[in-house]
Amino acid sequence: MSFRTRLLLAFMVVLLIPLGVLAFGVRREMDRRLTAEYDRRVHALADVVQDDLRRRSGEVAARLAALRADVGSDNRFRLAAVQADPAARGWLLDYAGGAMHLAGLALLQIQDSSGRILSSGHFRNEFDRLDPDLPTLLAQASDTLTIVRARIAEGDFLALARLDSLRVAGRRYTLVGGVALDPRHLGQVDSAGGLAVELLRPGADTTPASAGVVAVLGVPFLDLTGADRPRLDTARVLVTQSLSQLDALRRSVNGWLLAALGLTTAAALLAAAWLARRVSLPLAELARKTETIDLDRLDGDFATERTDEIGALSRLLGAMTARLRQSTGRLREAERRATLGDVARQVNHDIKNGLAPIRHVLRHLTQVAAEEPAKLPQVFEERRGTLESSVGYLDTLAGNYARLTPAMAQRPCALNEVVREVARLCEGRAPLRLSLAADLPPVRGDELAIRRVLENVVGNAADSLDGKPGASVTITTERAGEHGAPLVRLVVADEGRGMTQAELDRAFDDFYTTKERGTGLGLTIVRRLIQDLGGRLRVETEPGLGTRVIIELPVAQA
Amino acid sequence: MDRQLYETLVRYDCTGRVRPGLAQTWRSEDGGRVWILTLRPDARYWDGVAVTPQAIAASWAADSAAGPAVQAAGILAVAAAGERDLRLSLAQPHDSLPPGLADRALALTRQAPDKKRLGTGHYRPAPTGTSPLTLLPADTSAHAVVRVLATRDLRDALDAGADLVVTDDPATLDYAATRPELSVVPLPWNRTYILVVPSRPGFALDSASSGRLGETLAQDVVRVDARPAQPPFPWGSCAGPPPAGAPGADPTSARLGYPADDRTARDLAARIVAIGAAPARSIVGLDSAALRESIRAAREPAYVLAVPKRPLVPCEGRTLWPADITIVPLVETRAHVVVRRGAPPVTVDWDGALRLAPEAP
Repeated sequence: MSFRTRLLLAFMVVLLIPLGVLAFGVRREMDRRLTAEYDRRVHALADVVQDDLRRRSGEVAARLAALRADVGSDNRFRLAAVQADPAARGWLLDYAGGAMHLAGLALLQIQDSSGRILSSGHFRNEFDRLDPDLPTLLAQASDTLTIVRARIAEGDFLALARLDSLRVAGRRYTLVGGVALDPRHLGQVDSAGGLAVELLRPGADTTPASAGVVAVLGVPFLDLTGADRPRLDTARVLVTQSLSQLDALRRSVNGWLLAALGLTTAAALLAAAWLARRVSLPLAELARKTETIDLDRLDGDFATERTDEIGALSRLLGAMTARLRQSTGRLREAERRATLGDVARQVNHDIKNGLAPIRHVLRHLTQVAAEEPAKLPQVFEERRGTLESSVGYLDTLAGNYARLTPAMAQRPCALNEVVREVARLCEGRAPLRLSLAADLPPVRGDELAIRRVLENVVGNAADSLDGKPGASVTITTERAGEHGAPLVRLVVADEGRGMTQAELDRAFDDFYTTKERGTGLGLTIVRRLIQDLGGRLRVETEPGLGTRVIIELPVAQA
Repeated sequence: MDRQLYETLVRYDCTGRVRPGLAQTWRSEDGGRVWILTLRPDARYWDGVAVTPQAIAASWAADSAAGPAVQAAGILAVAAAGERDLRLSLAQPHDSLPPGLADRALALTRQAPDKKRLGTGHYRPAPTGTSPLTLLPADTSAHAVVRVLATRDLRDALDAGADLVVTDDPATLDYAATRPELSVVPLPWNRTYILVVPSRPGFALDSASSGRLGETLAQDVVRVDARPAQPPFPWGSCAGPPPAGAPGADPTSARLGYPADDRTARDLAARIVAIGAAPARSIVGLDSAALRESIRAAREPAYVLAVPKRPLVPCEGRTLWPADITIVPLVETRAHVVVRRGAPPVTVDWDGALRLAPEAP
């Protein structure tokens, strides 16, 4: 599993689990609080409804009491009801209608003791009908308000009714009065809030399935519209709180949580990708640089401006590489010195081998000169080939040994002078441009070694132009290494054919060359010389555009 | 007020005798199938244009309301038979003039160039229009100027000095009875309330109780002057067969229909429901169009309606009803006229229409 994947999973776990827990917690708390609030509201409304019913009951009772006083004191009632005066009968029939409206009632009925309707306000023409059950049943309902389903000419209606009575001339008359009841107006419910008040008549179905929180009030109920004799029953005033708002809130919260989840996931993906890129890329770059390091290639550049852990690691690797470079130098020096004895013995052996024929020829010529001087020219001619061959051998031998690296001097060296000299030697091979820093400090090293380095690098650059029109080689010197040990940077840039990554990877391998007559040792020697000089070497190249060889050498200590 | 403005060919007085209107004399031909009416020579519109037989024929042809009245009167053809003679061809022979000729729908009108309706009556509206409406004598006769007061409470009109109020409102009549300068005179019984029972399975009236229904309802039920409906009933030859009366219909949802603007009909319907005299549980008020349609479709088991007690055309209107209905007479009512003492006299026609009589010289 890649680092990026692990990072992504870590982000998901770190973000999504808390978010899920938060969502669960929010929903649960929301449910708990809203349900509790609904319960409080429902029961508060039930109390309001009950108070409202009581209040209306009191109002109806007060209005009936006023009517009772009015009826009792009105002689026309006495004439009509007691004396059965035909002249007052019309007044009596219409009395309940007028009194009902004046008293603000919707139901008013006056009966005599036998239950005969003397006057009815809500249904004028039901006079003389016998209805003794109504006052009897209302009396059974004690002094509380009773819901009455009363009959009128156009149908029926619900009323909150009460009973009162009076005595005139020793006869008892009952007054049944009430106000209209619209269950929707009980408690002045605002149905938009999900609260509802519903009147369930006896025998009606139970609580509607849509109701969430429910409170029930029992109210005496009397149905006067049925074909059978009425009986006192109980209606239920149902106060309900719909959960539709809670459901809508849940859906909304779910939507928002899903949106947050989606956004968080997207953010986690982006953050993981960004962080992985920010963390893994420098690490991968460090790894790539580290891969190139071996004892022969200790010039990797680990310099960085980063101030974080990766920067520290990079600098640590750079310091380690520097220490390796120094150690390798010392090791090579020890190795060279150890090898020097072998070389000396080899040279001694080789020289002896070369000198041995010469010595023999010289002894022969000495002997001929002493014994047969006249044959000396002839013998010399005969042995001349041997001498020349031996001398040639020695010359060749000398040339071969001359390639062996001598121990380099460690002294201040004017780099710009060396550059100018090499430039003069290379005139004619390629267009050269010099950009040399004026105040360049002397570098520490051997002029000869630096010259060999420059000859190789500039020679390669000139060869890479390969007659490309307008292309040139630029040699630049400048100060470098501001944040560490002072350095001088030498850059040889050409506009030649450049190298592929594969070519670059093998450029420092021994005997690797892209030239027809190349030995494949040039850059190897250059790298070793740079290492011996305590410097660093890196190559930047782009196929078709050219190559920049960057050499950094330590500044000579004053 | 229309009767003061627009005239019919003849009219019928309160005793039922035919009286001249636009027609001065008349005679029959062809065994009573043709009647020739001679217009009075001074019959003129308010603008002075003489009334001709052609004008009468044209007026009936142009007035959409006249068509049904012409048909109800049994008139097949109308034509001029001379300079002042109008020839009416009837579908059936008549011994006397068809009473339908006095129908107000057959009153003569003519449209003036300014779109106003011109009549031939003794009164015409004040030309400039007044509020309250003022009627001016159309000629130089002894008719007084009449102002028509519009008020919600007729007692206000009496207090404002009205000379003539026609009403059945008990409060107004009670008030007028307390005023010495006013006289309250009952008008003829002019309206009969009936229970119309369309033929509909499941509903039947108890014939015994329905016979006594009028007596029951005449007492205390309505708030106007009423009595049990008394024969003769003009619809006798119009009624269809009785309803089938098959039992089994649900009476709990049945309603008793009545004209929504007729309080007396509502009171009667409510009482019928209250005492269970009809198989209905409640009543329903319907406007005229809805009521007509409801009766035609027999949507309700019964209806309480008012019909003229003395119709000029007995079966007029029954054409809109289904044939198979039963009519139970309930009560008949009348209005009263309150007359200020000393005011010009009025007369009453057969159909209850008041006519302002000329002032005595």
